[in-house]
Amino acid sequence: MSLMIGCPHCQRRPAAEFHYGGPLRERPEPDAATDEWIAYTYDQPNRRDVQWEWWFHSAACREWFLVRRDTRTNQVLESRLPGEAGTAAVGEGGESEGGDE
Amino acid sequence: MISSPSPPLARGPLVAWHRHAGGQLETVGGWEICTSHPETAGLVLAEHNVVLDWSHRAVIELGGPRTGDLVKGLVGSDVAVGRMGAGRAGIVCRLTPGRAIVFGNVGPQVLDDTAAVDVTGGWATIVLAGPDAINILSLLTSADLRTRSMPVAAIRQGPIAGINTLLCHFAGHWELHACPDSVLSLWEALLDAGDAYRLQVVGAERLGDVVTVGGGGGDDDGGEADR
Amino acid sequence: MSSSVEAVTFTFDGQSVTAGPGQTIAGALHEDGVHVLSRSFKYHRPRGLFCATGRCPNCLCTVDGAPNVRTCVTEATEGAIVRSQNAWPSLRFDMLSILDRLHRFMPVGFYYRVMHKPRFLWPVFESIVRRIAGLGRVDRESGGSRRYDRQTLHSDVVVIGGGWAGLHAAIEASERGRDVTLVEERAKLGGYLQDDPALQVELGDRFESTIQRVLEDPRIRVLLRSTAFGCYEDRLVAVQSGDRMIRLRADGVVIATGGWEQPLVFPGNDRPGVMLASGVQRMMWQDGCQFSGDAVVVTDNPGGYLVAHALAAAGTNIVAVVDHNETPSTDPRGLPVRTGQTLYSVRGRRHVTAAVVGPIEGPTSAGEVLGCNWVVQAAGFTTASGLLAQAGCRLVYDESRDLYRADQLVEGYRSAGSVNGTFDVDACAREGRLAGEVAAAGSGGGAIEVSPAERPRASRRLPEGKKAFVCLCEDVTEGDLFDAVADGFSNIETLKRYSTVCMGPCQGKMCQAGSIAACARANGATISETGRTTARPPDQPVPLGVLAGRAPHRHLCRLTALHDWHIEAGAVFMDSGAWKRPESYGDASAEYQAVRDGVGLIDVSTLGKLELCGPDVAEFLEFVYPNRFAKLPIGKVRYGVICDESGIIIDDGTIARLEEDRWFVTTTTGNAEGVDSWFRWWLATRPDWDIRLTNISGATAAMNLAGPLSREVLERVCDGDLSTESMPYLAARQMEVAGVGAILLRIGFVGELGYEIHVPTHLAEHVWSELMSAGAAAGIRPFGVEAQRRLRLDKQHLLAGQDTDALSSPLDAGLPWIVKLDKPDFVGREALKRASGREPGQQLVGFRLEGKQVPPEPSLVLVDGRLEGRVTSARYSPVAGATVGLAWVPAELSENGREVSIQIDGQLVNAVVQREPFYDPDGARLKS
Repeated sequence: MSLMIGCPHCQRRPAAEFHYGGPLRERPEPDAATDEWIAYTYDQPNRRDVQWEWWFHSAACREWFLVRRDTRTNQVLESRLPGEAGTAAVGEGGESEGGDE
Repeated sequence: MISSPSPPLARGPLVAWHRHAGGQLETVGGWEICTSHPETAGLVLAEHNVVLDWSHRAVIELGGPRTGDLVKGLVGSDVAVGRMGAGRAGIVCRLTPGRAIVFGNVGPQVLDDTAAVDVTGGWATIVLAGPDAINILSLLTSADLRTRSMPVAAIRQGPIAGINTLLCHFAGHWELHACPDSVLSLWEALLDAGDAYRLQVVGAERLGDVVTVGGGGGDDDGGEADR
Repeated sequence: MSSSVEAVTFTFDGQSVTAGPGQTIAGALHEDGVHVLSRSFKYHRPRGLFCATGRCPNCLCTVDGAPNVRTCVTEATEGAIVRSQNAWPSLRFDMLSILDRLHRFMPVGFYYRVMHKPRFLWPVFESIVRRIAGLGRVDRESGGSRRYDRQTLHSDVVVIGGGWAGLHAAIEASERGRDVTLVEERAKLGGYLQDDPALQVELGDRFESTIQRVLEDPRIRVLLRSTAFGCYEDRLVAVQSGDRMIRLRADGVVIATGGWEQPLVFPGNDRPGVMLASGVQRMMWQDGCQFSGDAVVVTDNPGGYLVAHALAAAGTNIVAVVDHNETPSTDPRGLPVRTGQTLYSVRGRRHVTAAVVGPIEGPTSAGEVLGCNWVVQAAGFTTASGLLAQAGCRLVYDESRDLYRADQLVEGYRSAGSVNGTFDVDACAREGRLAGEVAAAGSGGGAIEVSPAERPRASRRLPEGKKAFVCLCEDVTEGDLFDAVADGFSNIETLKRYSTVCMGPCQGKMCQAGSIAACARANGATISETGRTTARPPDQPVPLGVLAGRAPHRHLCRLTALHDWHIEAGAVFMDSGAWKRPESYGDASAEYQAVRDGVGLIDVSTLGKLELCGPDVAEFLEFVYPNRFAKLPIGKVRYGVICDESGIIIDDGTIARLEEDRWFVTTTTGNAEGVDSWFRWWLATRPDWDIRLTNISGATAAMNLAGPLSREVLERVCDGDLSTESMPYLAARQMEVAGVGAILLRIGFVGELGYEIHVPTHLAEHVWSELMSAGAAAGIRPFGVEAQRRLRLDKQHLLAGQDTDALSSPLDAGLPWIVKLDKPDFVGREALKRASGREPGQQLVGFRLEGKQVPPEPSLVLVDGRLEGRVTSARYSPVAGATVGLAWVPAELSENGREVSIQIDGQLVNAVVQREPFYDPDGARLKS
């Protein structure tokens, strides 16, 4: 895997320096319905889509950040720090260029 | 207190390596360090590739939202992420907006600040110098070491020989800072890769020759403007 | 590796051979009259120089212990030991060539169909097949001395191929201010032009001056004798350069890899003496080889005439130039030409003795026998487009050129020259310039336009008869492919896998075009409809050592600051993840006893250590741990487990509040990075939390002073008040130990009065030595991991990861008290809440087993003969006078006093469940 990922602090680095943290998702409220919690805990979304996802630069600055990636082409489109404007969780306005298939 | 202990003696992680390699050990400023390797004591440094163990340094980690202010206080101006700046106290490496590492004695004023943690002993430092330094590093890291990507005063955290290392580019040498628990692996990997370039180990007595005066930490040529 | 300037001597199968300066091994052998270099893979047919450009498998030999060296492109070195492969007992007389006569018993895919039945005979067949098959043998003795390297280089532009197009691409990119790396397989730049003096004359001094221009350009790094074998994501190009693998990362890549001359398929086309024209040229001009005797040249283009003229000038008698075209492809200038004819077959066994030629469409009987020593074919090129295909570029069949080429490029890639099917030198230079310009701009991709085809292709004769080899590597004939298609493997991908065509060392370079053509014909389809197989790395054969490199990180080992002290003290080390830890100092039982009766000291620096500062830390800890921390007083430490959202234990450790807003957290050995990452993720999800996390694991060493006499020892080197009143069990203090600022935690993992002492790493050896001196009178002993494991088992203290796994929740692992479901929210609360309302599953319980028999982990727990659980830890306990341990058992068996059976060495042994610690159950010793 020679994919390059842009770390907001360390610039572009080989993907092997990072750990993947899954798509950005909203954690349910503590009093949310059990089904919602079960879906959040056990269902790992695997979408053919452009999505925001967590990456951890484990072999360097050890900071978490968000990457917008097209899972169909494996193209990394941009990286942002958590809390920055413009990042959205899957199913929460994540842009769709092909929809779920 | 019942018995009075001997004054604390500090020791870096490579001291045993030096001892086995025939290095001369001395106590300097409370640290047991390798001052000399007899066979390289007279080496002409400009022509040779050398490594030197400089683990006997005070190190401070600055963190949190006030990192920038503290950096300004130490260097006189802010230091961009991915760069280092030289201040009176030492070299300040800015890793992220909220994190910086200071190599050198910063004094109690900074140390007592809640944003500072004394991490002396948490970073071991290897100095690498010589005409083939980049070639040796290129055998151990995927980093782009071209001057354009990694100019003087640039820093880069990432794997070297598989070990998370903070690499700092000075005018006449490179510094590799790593966790003491894995620095022996890094040291041996450097010596192994450097074998083809006749890389040699020198003692701390040559520190002043390898690390040019002033540390070469800050380049005032506006190199940070492009960031 | 540079060319020798003097002649060298090497041995080939024991015979001494002399090579001229810079001459290849195969070239020297050719001059020495050695024309059989190897035996073929399946039928052990004699094989000689064929492509002579490092593509085909015919010249593979073992050189100085390294198997499968392409001797036609490997310069001879003094004293080299070259051995032929795949022949027994000798190359000249290979017993296994009998297989050649058994062709009809060994149809394609025979190993899938025969020998598997009866099943019990397969191991016998397998050992025979393994001995007969395979190429070369790895010399286990010689491998160790070779040094393999891995290097990473970065370049704005990488140009692969130092031929005419590649040279111009490099110059153009350099002129545009980019730094360029030019990768060339051969020892010199210039590509095929080096082997074509006639074209060099046409170019005049442009040839040499262009090469000089590149070599002298400071912006161009030239890697000679370097082979690009893979293109990976984000423009990573893998290059083999001798024993080094270079990973080249570029912004723009120009592929100018040229093409490969393609062989014709006819019966006997693998006989020594049958060669490709480009190989003959290369051998003549680069290696100074002569081709004495008579030669027949078969061609459909001017290239055949060039090689014929060159051969004639060097003294070879040209018997005929057999031209597929009705009119000569170019002015024959006195050569004997037979137009509209082709080669039917060749005769000869160890070497060609004659060529049978005749009209393209004529019957076999129309063939005329021409006596000759050499048959040279110049029947066109295919593109070396494997790297383009790997990069994801689309390849299409270009009918006008009869070759596959890229027509749609991916971003960052550009192709130029013969790889596009362009062979005219000026057109190659133009394409090179354009590619260099595009790559310098960091773009590329999109459709490419190539120069129009230079001439129409002449028709070909279809091969007839047996032993017309499509694939030299795997001995696959045209007939084999037809049979395979008839067997139902009609798709090109399945045909490849079934027949193994294109799967040998050449990876399709000699046989892909031929196999596609055969597949198309067998299916009655066109070449385009047939398609091609997927190109994958490596594009050229690469030694495994080069791929492995020195891989230093594989040997990463982590050592604590006390490692050298442990060595001096005679420690026996064990691996704990990447860490080396003392398992014992020779006598774990004595170490155990010292802690129970006196005092011991263990290095626990491998624990993860995190400092958390800020006003929101208490809230954060309440959130990431299931138990409570908000009201933990300053100066207190508490045990905690970390669960994930599914309520599974992922780590455990201690949490100490040193100041109002300053906390000190420890994690298990080997999980410091994991917990650091876990905490940082939750902090990242809540940027509003004012918390600063500092991983001080590397900066802090830790040791545990434990045993009834530990207070007495510590008091000797510590000014603080250590009395139980002042510093009770679970107190956390910051004070000086042996003159060094330390964090002291009064905790008791081993079940005795004890202090976990955290000090700066660089002062650890000092503190440790002072403690050892202070404890000398009390009989202090250092103790290792083994003693610690026995000590903690007496107390039923679990080890996360040892006694728990990916299904263990604190509710089941004997820690239900730690889960505070009345807290409004914490990680894993929802899952633990659900679990607490269900029937309990397996429970982690202590058990006791009379006698000294110790069940190894993970022994099975059986109930009524059914597998119902497993042992996670067990040791003999002197204080319990029995073997004790921890095991997962069904909930209904988890009560005190229940009997379970544990299987040890196949025997069932009775054990009794015991829920309270085996030692000091009320903790009096801990709290003393």
